[in-house]
Amino acid sequence: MAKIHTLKIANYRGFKKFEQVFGMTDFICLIGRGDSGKTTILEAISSVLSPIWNLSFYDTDFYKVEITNPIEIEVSLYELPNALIHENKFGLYIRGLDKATGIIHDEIKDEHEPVLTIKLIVKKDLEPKWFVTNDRNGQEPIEIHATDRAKLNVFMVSDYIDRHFTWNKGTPLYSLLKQDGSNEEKTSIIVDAFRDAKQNIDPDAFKYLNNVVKNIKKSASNLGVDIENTSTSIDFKDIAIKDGRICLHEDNVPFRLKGKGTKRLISVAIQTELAKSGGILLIDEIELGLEPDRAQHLVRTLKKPNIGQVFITTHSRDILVELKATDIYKIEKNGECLLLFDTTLQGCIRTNPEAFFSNRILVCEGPTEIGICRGLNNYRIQSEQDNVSYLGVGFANGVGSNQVAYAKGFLEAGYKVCMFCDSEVKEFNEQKATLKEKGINIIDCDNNNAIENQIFLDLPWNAIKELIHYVLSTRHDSVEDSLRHYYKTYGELPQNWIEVDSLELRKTLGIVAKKRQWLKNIDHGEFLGEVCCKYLADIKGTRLETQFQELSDWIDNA
Amino acid sequence: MLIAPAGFGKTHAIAECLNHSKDKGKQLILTHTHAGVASIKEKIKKQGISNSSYSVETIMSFAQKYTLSFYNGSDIPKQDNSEKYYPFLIEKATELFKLNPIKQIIVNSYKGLFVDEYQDCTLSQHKLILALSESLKTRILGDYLQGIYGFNSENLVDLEDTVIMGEFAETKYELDEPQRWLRGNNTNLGSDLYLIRNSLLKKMEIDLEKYSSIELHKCSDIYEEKYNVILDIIKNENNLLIIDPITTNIHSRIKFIQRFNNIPSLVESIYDKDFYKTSSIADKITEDNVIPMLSLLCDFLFNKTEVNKWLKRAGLVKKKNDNDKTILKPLENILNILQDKYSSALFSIALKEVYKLPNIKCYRKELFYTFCKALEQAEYGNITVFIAMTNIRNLISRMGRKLFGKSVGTTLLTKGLEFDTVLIINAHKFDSPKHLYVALTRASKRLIIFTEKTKLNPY
Repeated sequence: MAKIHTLKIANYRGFKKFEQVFGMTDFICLIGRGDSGKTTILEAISSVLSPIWNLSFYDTDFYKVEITNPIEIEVSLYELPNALIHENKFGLYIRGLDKATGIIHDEIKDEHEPVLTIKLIVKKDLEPKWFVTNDRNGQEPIEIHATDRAKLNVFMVSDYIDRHFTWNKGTPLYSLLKQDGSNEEKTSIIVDAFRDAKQNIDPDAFKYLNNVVKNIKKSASNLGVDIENTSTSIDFKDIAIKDGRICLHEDNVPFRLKGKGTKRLISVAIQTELAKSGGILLIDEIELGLEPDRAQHLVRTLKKPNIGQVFITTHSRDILVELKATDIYKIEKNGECLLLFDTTLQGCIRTNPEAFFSNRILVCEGPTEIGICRGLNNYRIQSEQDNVSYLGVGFANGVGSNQVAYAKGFLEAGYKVCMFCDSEVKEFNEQKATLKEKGINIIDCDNNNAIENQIFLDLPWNAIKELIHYVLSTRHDSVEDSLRHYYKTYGELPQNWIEVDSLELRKTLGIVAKKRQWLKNIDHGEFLGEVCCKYLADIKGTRLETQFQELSDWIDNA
Repeated sequence: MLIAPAGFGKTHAIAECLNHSKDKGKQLILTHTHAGVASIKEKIKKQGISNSSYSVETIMSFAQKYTLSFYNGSDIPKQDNSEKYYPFLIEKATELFKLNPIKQIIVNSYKGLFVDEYQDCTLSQHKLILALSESLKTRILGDYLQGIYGFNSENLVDLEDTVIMGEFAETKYELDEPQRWLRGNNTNLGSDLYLIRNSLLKKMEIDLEKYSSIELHKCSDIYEEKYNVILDIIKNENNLLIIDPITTNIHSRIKFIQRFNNIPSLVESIYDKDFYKTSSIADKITEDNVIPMLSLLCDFLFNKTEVNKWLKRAGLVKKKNDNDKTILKPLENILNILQDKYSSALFSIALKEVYKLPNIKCYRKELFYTFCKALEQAEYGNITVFIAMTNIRNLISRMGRKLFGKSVGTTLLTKGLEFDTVLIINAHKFDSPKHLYVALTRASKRLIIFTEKTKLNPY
């Protein structure tokens, strides 16, 4: 029942103008850095389809507090509830969705799917008005009331969900009650329960107060007023169910006192019950208050095919790894639409979920390169430069052969992309020019070198000695045996080789480091990066120095 | 398809069906005339059926609702151009009803369809109903002998043509009890009309003298020879319809009203061009021409000779008599204001002031009052009088209207309606068996005929 196809926002909070076509999608995960507007999007949806008749708006809800530009939020919905497309309701206002192109037309064709466009307008008087609208000649927008909006079953799980455990009008529990056919005749079921309660309390509960009442009766009768039939009872006014005193309890403890995560899960449970007959569920920061495994279980459950539509936001890599690339929509601050991911990044989600949360991505050839970048970041922190997280830069492991695909995928999804890579694979080198043309920054080695070759060629011998000692401390096999084996081309490995700086030995060290994977993990890479940074002043003019300079410049967004 | 001779309980049959299917959802009932809508509503209401289980409209207003909602082109003809406008509505609506999304709306809104007076469907309306029948279970009701309602003189559907009627022809039933006369306690009239029906179907001459239940008056000039007889009837019968076979213009009917002291009132056609003509004129009024325009409109709406004693194109007639001056004073004041600043609401008050003048008569009260209402709504809604008039007429067209008391109409304007007493003048002038049959069968208790010849050959 009713899913969102297109969302348009104008002059609402951080959005001047925004339009996103979700198409026929049941699960949407919004990601984006803090303050980019994820929650605003959920709240926009929640407002335009709100079952509440008098939502409050404030001057601060207007874009840049410019109250002269009205707030406009518009959603186009498909799979509409029958009650709304009755001829007497909004049946004559439907538009046609061409499923093949995803375009909504005002002129209806046979193959179209019916769509209703609902628009919320708030002008400077702050009074929200909801309309069903279209662009047909001569058809004026028609107001849609809260009771009709309630039929769309849209609910938001956010921090303020305590009212979800009450039986108030407009809560999911109330909607469930209305859907439950067995209660159809007893619409006043809750008030009736209250009346029963009052009757049960009255006879006994207040007998300890009777003496006082008796004295008052006597005084009153002295003054000539007859209040003989007076007794103590509950004033119905104060137990009106409006304020939500009828709510769910466990062992007499109201649900609102439960832990944050549990409350959210129960709220989701109530709403997934609703979603069985369709509905739109909005969950802000789905992982909030939940252990990674519970959060992941929740996402897996919500992703199971059902008839509703789910929008979530998340900051969690644990959530992301559960999703398909096409489920994810990235929002950028001041963006006019969302950025989409295609299936080429599917593997990347599993290997580098955290990269998706950044704005700029450094696609590294492998763990060594990621480590080197981390080392560089440590060095930047020590020398009081801005760190990568502050600058919104993320590192992604390109897993060697996938790096080109990932870099392209990220670029297409709207990220700024830089590749930190080797120069040893011919086919890859040949692609670099076209990648640069597309706008990808490439930082690589020279002369068909891998990073290991480059490092052992360019670092001063003191630095290389530090690396050799590091390798000796981490390896169980004989470092010297390996070196002797590969040095053969040049002759016998000298006895005191560790003290002798020679081009032959540097070349051999590079080859062996690569073959024996001396530095092939992130920790080793990080050490390597730190050593390089320490000696940067000594390697001026080398390729390695240029690489570090370029990395640093790109991180600074220079 | 249910074939139902006039008065054989066709509408009653619909009500019965509704009673039967009331829990299953809303039934759509379509007919042709607004009078028909009103009459069906009334009969169904008498059965105590909740109005959530049915909806009655004219085919045209139903088509209009969908076409104006969904047609997005800018080539919709103007509403006063009825020769183009109404066929356009039907054509576009027929296309719309074949579209899957629109079908969803229809199926979602209605559970079934009844079409009353099917013999009055033009071929294009028939196509529209066929398109609707793809979505809704459709029952059509009608009578070949009552097919007189040609819209813009388009060809009507032939209920007996099995090719055109398609599946409907395979499920043909006929009603056989003269309900109207059983209820009206005049079973003789019922059986006489049934005999006449059979003769008409066989194109035989009708000798009115053979039917004792009909009150027959032979005369060549009703005003000369039978004035008092008719006046008596008009005075004493409260539920009375006078039918005039002359349909080409309304003068003969207006003359009748004039001659009988304005007692009966004229049944106006919803789409009568005079409603739009007066409104167009009203939209041209300015401070400078308000007096000649008022004079022009009053000449048209009231008895001109009397109007001209008070108001001419040049202005109010100068009166010497003090009493006459006092009578004219309110109108004079209003005209002064109007010449200073024109207001259409105030203009309607000026019209009503003219109507109050001595000896002023209005033979088209419906036109007059609707026109005044349009003038007021134009002012308050800040729209042209023409648009205000269009809105009012469309509303009536959707809501239907009832006829009370004593009316003068034609077969076209009153078909589907039923009156206690029907008075037919100039019966020899009927030139179609269908019109004659419709006229005869409007009466449930008394049928009175004035004619030059007692043997009728309406072929």
